[in-house]
Amino acid sequence: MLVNKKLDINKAELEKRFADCGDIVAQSFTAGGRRFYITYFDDLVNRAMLENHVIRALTVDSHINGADMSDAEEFLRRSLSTADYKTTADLETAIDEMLSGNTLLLLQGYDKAVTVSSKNVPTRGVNPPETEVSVQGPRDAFCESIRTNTVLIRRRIRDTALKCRQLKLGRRTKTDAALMYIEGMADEKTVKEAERRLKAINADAILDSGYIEQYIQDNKHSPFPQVQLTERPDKAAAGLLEGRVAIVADNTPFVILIPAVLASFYQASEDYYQRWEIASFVRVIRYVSGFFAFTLPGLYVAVMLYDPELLPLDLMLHLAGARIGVPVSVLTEVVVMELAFEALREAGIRLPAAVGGTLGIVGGIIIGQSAVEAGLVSPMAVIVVALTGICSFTVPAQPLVSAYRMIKYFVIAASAMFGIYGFVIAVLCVMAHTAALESFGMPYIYPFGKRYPNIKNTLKDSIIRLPLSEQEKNEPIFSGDE
Amino acid sequence: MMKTNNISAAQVFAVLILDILGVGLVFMPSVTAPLGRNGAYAALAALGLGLFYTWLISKTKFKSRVLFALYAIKTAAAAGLLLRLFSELIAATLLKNTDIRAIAGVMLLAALYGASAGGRARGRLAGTLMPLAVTALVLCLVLAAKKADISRLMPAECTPYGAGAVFLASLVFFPAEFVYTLDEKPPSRFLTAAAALGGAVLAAAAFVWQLRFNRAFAFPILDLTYNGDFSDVLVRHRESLLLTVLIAAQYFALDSLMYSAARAADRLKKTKHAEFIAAAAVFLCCILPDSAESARQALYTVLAVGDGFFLVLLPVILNVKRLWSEKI
Repeated sequence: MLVNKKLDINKAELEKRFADCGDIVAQSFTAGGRRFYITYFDDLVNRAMLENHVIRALTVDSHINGADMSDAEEFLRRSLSTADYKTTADLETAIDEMLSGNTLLLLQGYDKAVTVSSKNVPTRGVNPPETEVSVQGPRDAFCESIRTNTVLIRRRIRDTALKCRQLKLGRRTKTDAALMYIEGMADEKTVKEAERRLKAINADAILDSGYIEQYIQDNKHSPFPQVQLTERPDKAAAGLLEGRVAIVADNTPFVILIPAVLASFYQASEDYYQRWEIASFVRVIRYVSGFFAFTLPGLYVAVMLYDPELLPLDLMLHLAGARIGVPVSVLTEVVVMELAFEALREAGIRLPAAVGGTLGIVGGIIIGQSAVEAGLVSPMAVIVVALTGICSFTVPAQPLVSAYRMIKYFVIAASAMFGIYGFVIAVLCVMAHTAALESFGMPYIYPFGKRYPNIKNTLKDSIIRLPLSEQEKNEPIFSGDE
Repeated sequence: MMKTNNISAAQVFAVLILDILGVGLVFMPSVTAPLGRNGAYAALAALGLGLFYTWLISKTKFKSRVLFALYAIKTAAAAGLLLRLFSELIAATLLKNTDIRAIAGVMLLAALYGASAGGRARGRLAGTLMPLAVTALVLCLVLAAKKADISRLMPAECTPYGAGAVFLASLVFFPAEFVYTLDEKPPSRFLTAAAALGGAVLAAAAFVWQLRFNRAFAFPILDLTYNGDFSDVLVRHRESLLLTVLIAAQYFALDSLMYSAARAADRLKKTKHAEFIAAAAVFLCCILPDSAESARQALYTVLAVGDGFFLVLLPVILNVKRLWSEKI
């Protein structure tokens, strides 16, 4: 609907649209013989700014400036003491702007609506990261304000090549989103594909980046995360400098990085702040631990059920002795212990931090110890489950850990049915699945499995991280596919 | 999942090595072992022939639907019989008292999943797995060769049976035929290099086995798994370790053969279910033989006739024809 020159028609339309919206403020006033209508959402705007730079400017300062009241555009230019205002002939666009926290101003005899940027969205500010904690490195994390988040990134990359395309997602929520990339480094195809997928989102509500992830990922049936979520601005900036694309959305402290490959989930920001020897050592530990995070219980089941002779005789006898009196099979004790561990982990997440720690002690030590002493489970099963949990905690990305938690049961089932044979086949299936996955055209197991054009540089920052001085400058790691 | 037939030359290299190892580890020692001390030399001669075949295949192209139909049938039959032998091997070692059909069925399902993922995914997986598999195999061979007795190789003899065995052993290179189904042929150096590396590992396995054991055995490769010297390490018995490599290579070979059969079938009629049809045919060929021995004899026949044609005769005929027409 277009803005009408008659103020009363526009006013009536707005009053109809915002009927029963008690949080709206609407006021008509006259200045210099021209009628005005101003409307905004209470507390969604910066009142001081509104009073001083809009209302006062129109009613008082315009007389001092001697603004020409007959020409609306000239009048606005000379009287409004803010540069951040827009005019639009479309009333829908103006309403959308108002819903975003801007102030809507209508003038009698002027067929355009004026939207003044006056957002004052409540936000919790910049706090330390909660899910990606590091010992060394910056302590700021993204928050729920899109603008704060883009500023945190731009503060780190002061380059005009850093582009930021604005989008609105969700028919009803109209969530602000920004597609950020470095021109010349990011693959143009990836940028276009990301924009296409974002625009293709057909949903009423986008309340978090998790929603966006589910709409834009390549394979909806895979447990593996195909986009990377981060709450660390340094990680997002590093991703952009690798040629990746960031999707920043309003109302979420998690920024999406695409494409995401398996190796990127094993990288932590801290890797680049430490000496390369330490970083490489820790990465190798992470990869090995990541493998055991989904294979260790299955391997234990396969060995104990089918191939105990794999183990040295003393160890085998010791383990067999420890199982004497345990009333359930190896498979049952491992599955039950794993499920108990999952329940414990889930309970720990929902509880306040102080109580969560206590729960960990109660669950992990007291219940585990009691179960062993009561002869319900063998000590080795407790050790295997605990080790699996510890291995999963070494992987820096929680979405990947969640995938491993699911896959672990598939490996256990295959091992229980076919021993080592089933175990190897299950692991091969997982490998085949990851080999088939792609993230925005990028193979998921990149940089492994093929000689990519920039493979030498990429391998310097894969399982091990060579000194930064040995990594080529200006060569993005993520650039195109096969 | 993106399904595509195009993979890079380096990925073809990795795929072919894994295929040759998957087929050869189950098949080649069984052919060369009965030759006694000449078995190792037979494996070496087979490697020479294999290099020639792969080079020849890289120069060969055909479009005949009849040939593709025959190729699909032959490949599915070979894959099924190979799966049967492999399942017998697993039943003899890791899964005693387990139904052969269950062992084969699980492997087939896994390979079907891999084959359905498309050529690109297979190429990536091979590129990742191949270095690991070759390294593990070479390590096992080095450890198994510790108590080798060189006198077991002397003297070499040339016998009519030996010549037949050399021919049969050289057919382990038949997975190279999969390049017939590729839209774009990789450069021949990648194919011959893959055959050289895969064949060298197999020949080394034949030599090590000869130097250590030199006896009749149903699955000679198992001798190596039982007798590798890994004393004083956490893992006491090694058969599972080497069998792990064997399972991975076999998975890949089966996946590859099924994929090739499906792509050949595609040339006859495009269908979304080509891999499923190939898997059904493979399973049928796997369970039909009544014993391991009859499966082995059937495999020898399929390879001698089928691959004698597709690996040797057809490339020779087509290349001679091509050279003749070029000359004219």
